[in-house]
Amino acid sequence: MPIDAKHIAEQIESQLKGYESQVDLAEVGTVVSVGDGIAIVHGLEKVMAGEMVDFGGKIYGLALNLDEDSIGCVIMGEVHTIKEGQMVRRTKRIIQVPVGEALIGRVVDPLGMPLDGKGPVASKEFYPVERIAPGVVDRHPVNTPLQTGLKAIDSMIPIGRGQRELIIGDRQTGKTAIGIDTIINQKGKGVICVYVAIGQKQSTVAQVVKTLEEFGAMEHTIVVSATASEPAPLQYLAPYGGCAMAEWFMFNGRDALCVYDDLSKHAAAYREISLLLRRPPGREAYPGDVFYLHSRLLERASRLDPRLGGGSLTALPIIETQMGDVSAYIPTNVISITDGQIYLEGDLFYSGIRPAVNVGLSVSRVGGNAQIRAIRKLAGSLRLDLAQYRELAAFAQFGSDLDKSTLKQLARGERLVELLKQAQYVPQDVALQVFGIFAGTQGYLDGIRTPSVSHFERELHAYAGAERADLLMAIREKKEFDKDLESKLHEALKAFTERFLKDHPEAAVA
Amino acid sequence: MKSVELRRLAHSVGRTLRKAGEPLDALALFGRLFKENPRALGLLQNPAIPLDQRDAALKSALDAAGAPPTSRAVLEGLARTFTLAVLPDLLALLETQALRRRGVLPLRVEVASEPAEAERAAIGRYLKGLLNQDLRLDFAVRPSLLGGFVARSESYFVDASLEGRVRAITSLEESCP
Repeated sequence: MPIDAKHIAEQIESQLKGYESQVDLAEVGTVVSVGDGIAIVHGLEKVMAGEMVDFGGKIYGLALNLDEDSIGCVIMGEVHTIKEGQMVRRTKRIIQVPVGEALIGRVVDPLGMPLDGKGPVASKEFYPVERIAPGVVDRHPVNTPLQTGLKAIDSMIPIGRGQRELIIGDRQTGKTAIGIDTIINQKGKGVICVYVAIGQKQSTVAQVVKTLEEFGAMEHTIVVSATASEPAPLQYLAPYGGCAMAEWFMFNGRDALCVYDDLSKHAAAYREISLLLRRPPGREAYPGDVFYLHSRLLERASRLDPRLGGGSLTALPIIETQMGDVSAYIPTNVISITDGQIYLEGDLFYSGIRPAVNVGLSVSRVGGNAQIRAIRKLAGSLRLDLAQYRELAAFAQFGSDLDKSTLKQLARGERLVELLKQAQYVPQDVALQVFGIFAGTQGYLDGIRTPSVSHFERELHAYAGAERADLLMAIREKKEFDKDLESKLHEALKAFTERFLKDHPEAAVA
Repeated sequence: MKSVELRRLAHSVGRTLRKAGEPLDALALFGRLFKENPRALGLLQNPAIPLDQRDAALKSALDAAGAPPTSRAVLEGLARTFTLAVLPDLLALLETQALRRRGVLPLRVEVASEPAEAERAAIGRYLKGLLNQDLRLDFAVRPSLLGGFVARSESYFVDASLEGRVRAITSLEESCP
């Protein structure tokens, strides 16, 4: 068949009729100086505060300072590849992170990039890292408990879903352990947990991930890691990124828990950025908006109204104090933002009281409404007994001549303190907690030697699980802690105590 | 002088000149002078010559040019800090500022080969339609573009070149799994 040149030309013409040359129009700027993770960029006239800018080569920055003739950007990534005169493009979007089910069980960086070598995060949705917190009308009162599995906390400093409870204490007092225990205790309870590690050692984060995997808690957990080796901007973004990931579950009607470990290092990272951006330093060299830094993050924790799905986001921020000084700038800020604090003391920790919760200084402002009735009723007398014990113990060390009732109160207090001790990674079911605390406050432990209290408790739990499952069920489900339940508990404990003392006569007080 | 400092200087000099109502003429005259006669610049910046002699030389040159007071102060300040050499760059920034204040966007357009007058006009029309602003185009030739053009101002970058298309296709290929 002869080639028809005319026909071919017509075909080419018709194919290319609709062709429009593609022109790339970008709003750009020029790097005029770069150093210490900060780039000063000229141009980018219309850039918004907090907007992501593209330095090319998959390196992004965050526009934080908008000056008259230049902008100050923090660089997220390899700073040394950025050069003076380099072009910077606007992206016209705020930093976003992937959200959704695909993140569960993953270890990601603050931008949602995987760090666990399990391949890309298969997420289709993205949320901006910064978001306005739900308003007053969108919120519902906190009325559902979020059990940590720790007796001392669930009984006296209860946390509700949607609450913000600060964990505060010196280094090495068990702050992270409380966060991890709480995450482990959410297994099978429908709460998705996000653990945000800020400025920690990579080895520490690896250890946390390993522990969570060992206890099967990674199945409901996302770990967001911005370790000490990451640049300050990534550490600054980490809690906002983690919060956005948790918010997705809240807005989809589910319950989420976010542990920020810790906000002291977050504040330090923000201080570093602010000083490099030449913002005026204030108290302790922090910038003027360091309160807003944390308040806008923690305000995002909420219990949504049922018409919005009724989801919740509980926040457990952690703050590290120096030599127990809670009156420093960041601790006082976060104390005033949160709905209570769990105060951990080094002295208690080293004297073997673990978790080292100072029940006198710890408080939960809204969690009481969320407690189950049984434990709420017991918590009152537990607090009172412990307060009396502390007061008497302080006086008792000056004299040995004590009357019978004082000695009795001291003995009760000692046993209650022993009862509230709990090993790490052994969260307890709330009904078992009720059994134990009821035994303590009602005097069933008075006849047991203090060192045998933990043995008594272990056997009591085994007995309750095996022989009084009906009572455990009733404690969990009953709205009221009525006379009937109380008398059944007395009956069970009486029977058990007799049996325990018969089996273990060495445990009885002489 | 670092470019960030130069931009800050341009910003403050521009503002001072505007306040004083002085044109850029005197600075432009000296800019041209130093460009055409680098020896004059060398002498004024030579630390071996006593400061009062250099000052006197500059003063007489400024008197001869009839430089108004603010422009004088700027040039004297640059001479004292041994930074007279930045005058051409400073002028370029000041001219850009002046153009922007008049609503004209200066654009540097790079093309693959020397454009004909009609091509220049077509590019100008196209860019004016795209950016919706009055433009002052400054053409340059860059053969590596292969075809088309790129235009760059302080805040805009327009890439209508073959080189850009090839780069876009390459990055698309690289991002494919």
